[in-house]
Amino acid sequence: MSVWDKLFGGTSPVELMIQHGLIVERASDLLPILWRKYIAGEDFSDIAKEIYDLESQADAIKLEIRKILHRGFLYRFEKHDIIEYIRVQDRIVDLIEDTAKIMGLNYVELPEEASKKMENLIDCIENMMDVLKKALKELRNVLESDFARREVGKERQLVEEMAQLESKIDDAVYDFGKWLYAQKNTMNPVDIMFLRNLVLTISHIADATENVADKINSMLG
Amino acid sequence: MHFLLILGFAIGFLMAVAIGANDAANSMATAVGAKAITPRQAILIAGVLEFVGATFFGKQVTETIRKGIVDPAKLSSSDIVVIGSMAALLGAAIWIFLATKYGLPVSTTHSIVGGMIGYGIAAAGWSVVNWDKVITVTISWVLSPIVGLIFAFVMFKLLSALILHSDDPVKSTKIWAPVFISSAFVIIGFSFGFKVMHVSSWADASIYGVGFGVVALVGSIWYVLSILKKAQGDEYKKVEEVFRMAQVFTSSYVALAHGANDVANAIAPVAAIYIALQTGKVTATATIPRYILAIGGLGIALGVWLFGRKVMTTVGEKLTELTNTRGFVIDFSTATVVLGASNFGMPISTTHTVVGSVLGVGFARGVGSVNLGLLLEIVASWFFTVPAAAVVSYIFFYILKFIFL
Repeated sequence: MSVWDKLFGGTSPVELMIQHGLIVERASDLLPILWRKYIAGEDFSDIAKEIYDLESQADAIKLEIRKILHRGFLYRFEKHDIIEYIRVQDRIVDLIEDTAKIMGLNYVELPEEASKKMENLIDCIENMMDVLKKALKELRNVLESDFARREVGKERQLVEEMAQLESKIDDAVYDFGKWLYAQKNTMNPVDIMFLRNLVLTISHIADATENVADKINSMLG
Repeated sequence: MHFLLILGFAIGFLMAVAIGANDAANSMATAVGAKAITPRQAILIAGVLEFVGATFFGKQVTETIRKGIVDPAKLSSSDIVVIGSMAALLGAAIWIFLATKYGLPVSTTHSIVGGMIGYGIAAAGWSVVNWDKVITVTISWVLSPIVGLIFAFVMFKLLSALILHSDDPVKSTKIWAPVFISSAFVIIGFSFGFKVMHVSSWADASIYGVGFGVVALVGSIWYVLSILKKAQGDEYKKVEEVFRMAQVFTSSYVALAHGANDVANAIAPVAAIYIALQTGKVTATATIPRYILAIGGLGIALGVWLFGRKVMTTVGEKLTELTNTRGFVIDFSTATVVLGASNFGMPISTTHTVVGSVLGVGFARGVGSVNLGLLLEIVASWFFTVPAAAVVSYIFFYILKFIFL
């Protein structure tokens, strides 16, 4: 075995972190389609299957990262930071999968006003995930530039953008929740519980994404 | 006895072939991995430069191993030098073969030094070994990966500060990349002055250093501008493109330095046998004819040509995470440390210096993952290789003495 083989640990864990993030983002792209199909009462099993497949791919990368983090190796980031990062990022795709599963449990016909509120919430989530995608791509520049101040600055700006979107999502969740509880005298209580569960799961996607953003921020030092 | 000379040449040549086959990857791997050159081109460049390095810059290290470890003047006859040097060569070669077979960390440099110590002790006891020199050489083994590490760390941080962290990395590349490239030629120029032109003062050598540097500066300005004119992608991609091609220079620099330092591992005992047989005396004053170094260089080049392609292709495919700026720094640091050691006549391990340089860039957070465990292998090599090769050489000395004397 040549010294070069021994020196490097094969695939870089940071590159796998980025690949994992891009899969998560692809899954998030399916959320608006999923919602549109759900609200139109159409079959969305194909979209749900696509999300489950992406979740499996993300899981495989998560396992690979844990496998390649060898003892005695020096990484760009601390090993526990990499493991923690991938754990919080993987939570996003798990929640997207949960959202698809929850939607498959029950169908509730919503008035246009509520449907729009939900659509707005999902769009905000998608926007936030688009920023995450940009942040992951920028991370490559941060590494390539050896943590140049201006690249780190750009990365922190994207992290800040995600935090702002998260607070916007909180508002959208509150808005939908207010509408939902206003239906207590007219809507089936099971449907209220179902929608509450659904909206909370979707809002957790934003929380998890903000956790990823925080993790990126702390890893930048 | 002339049979031993022929046998010595054969074993020394084979050892040179083995060095070329195994260690050639160290020199050109990053350039092949970066796809700056094809394995075929790498073989050609490495072959030529290993030969040039061995022939023109390899004398001092060869002299250190030939007469620095064991003082030939303290031996009873030239026959003892002949069979002793043969025993050292066999001891080193057999130990390398066994260690490689069982996957143990091994360095040809450490093996040959161990071989020489073993024969010295067998021939005339502990006092014949020049322990001061052995200690100096050992210190150089400890220092070479450390210096490689520090050099690579500082150089990477310097390159970062001057180019990657600048407001306009492409503009900074135009200014600083030629300086980095030409500084390699300054060092080569100094070595050329001392080793080939045999100047005796730093002032005289600096004529060659500055001369090489100025020519290289002009050439590299033209080269950097022409690469940037064609380069595509974002600013960092353009910077990396410049250093991708610059890696061909630094890899060549490693090949030259490697040839200069490692030819001694194969050829120093052969030179000792040759001089003992030619003069019939135990003398330390005779100098090594350049053609013996050239034979060693030829052996290394043949090893590169015969086996290097496979090694370089395999290794190159695995260096995907090493970007060009990092590869450039690793090669530059390695070559500078190895060539510097050669100029001081210190036989050091190129492989260990590579490890030090890679770790230096790793500590600077320049690469995704680096194996720190190799440091333990290096330390293990210091403790095991020298005694093991010495024991094998010691045994062979008595076998050869029984047969020939």
